[in-house]
Amino acid sequence: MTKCFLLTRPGYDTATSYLHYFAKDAITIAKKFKGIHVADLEGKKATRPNLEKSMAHESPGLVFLNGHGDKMTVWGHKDEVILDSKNINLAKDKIVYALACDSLAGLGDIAFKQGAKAYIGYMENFMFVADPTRHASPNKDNNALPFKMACTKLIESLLTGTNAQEAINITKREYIRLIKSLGTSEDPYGDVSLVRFALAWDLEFLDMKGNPEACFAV
Amino acid sequence: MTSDKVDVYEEQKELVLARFNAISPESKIMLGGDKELTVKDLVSHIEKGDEFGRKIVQTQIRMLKVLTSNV
Repeated sequence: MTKCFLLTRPGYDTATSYLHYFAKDAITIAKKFKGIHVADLEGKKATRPNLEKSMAHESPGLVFLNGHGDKMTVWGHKDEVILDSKNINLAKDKIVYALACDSLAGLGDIAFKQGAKAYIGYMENFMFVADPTRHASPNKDNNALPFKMACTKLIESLLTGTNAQEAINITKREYIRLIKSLGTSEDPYGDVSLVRFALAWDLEFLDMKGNPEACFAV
Repeated sequence: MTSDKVDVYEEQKELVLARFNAISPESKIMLGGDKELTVKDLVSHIEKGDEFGRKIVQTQIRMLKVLTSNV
């Protein structure tokens, strides 16, 4: 039986361009599995009506949201609120991973109360460090690479059927590995210290609400 | 908070400030909402002792523990 993996990845400003790039690997990984159908709401397609339509009609088991957000909302293209308390009921029976700021703190609780299997996200801002000379080409940005690796580890774990809590544990171990592996021998601008701090911040505030054993089995 | 805890926090705060002061004050961290936070902003929050500043101290201390641990 084919399962649906839905993701949103707007890319209209610097931060969302990076998240858009971070999410690329998730699609590559998902497409390796014959049993997974990928619904990719990319760029301008990351709108509230499109998300609602996909969540209602394609019944995705796993929803990966990339974009800005706050405690009670997650945003799509051009700051449109695509998920909030009014439509979070659509997350029923689904695992949601929001790579967005803060939303776990408010929307995560509501999602669980309204029947979401699990809501994974950040209790505070999601932080990353970018090289200002690489904003136009995130794929060449070595400062951003460790953040991409950690985010990919989480979505890869979920896609391969690891349960929500274990996927978080794996990702936290990856954050620790990345913090320890960064060298300072070639760091003329002192970026490594800042990258380590931002990785530690994301490590600290990544968490979930819902059933720790929820999984997206293929 | 007991005086011992205050002392420990003040020591941690000084350590974290010293580390951030060694980085270029204009270096930036990206946040949601396309906001950016400079090292100068981080230092300012720590010095003010607001909630965000305390979280920065807590996180940086955890990062140092990670760096020095054998995990």
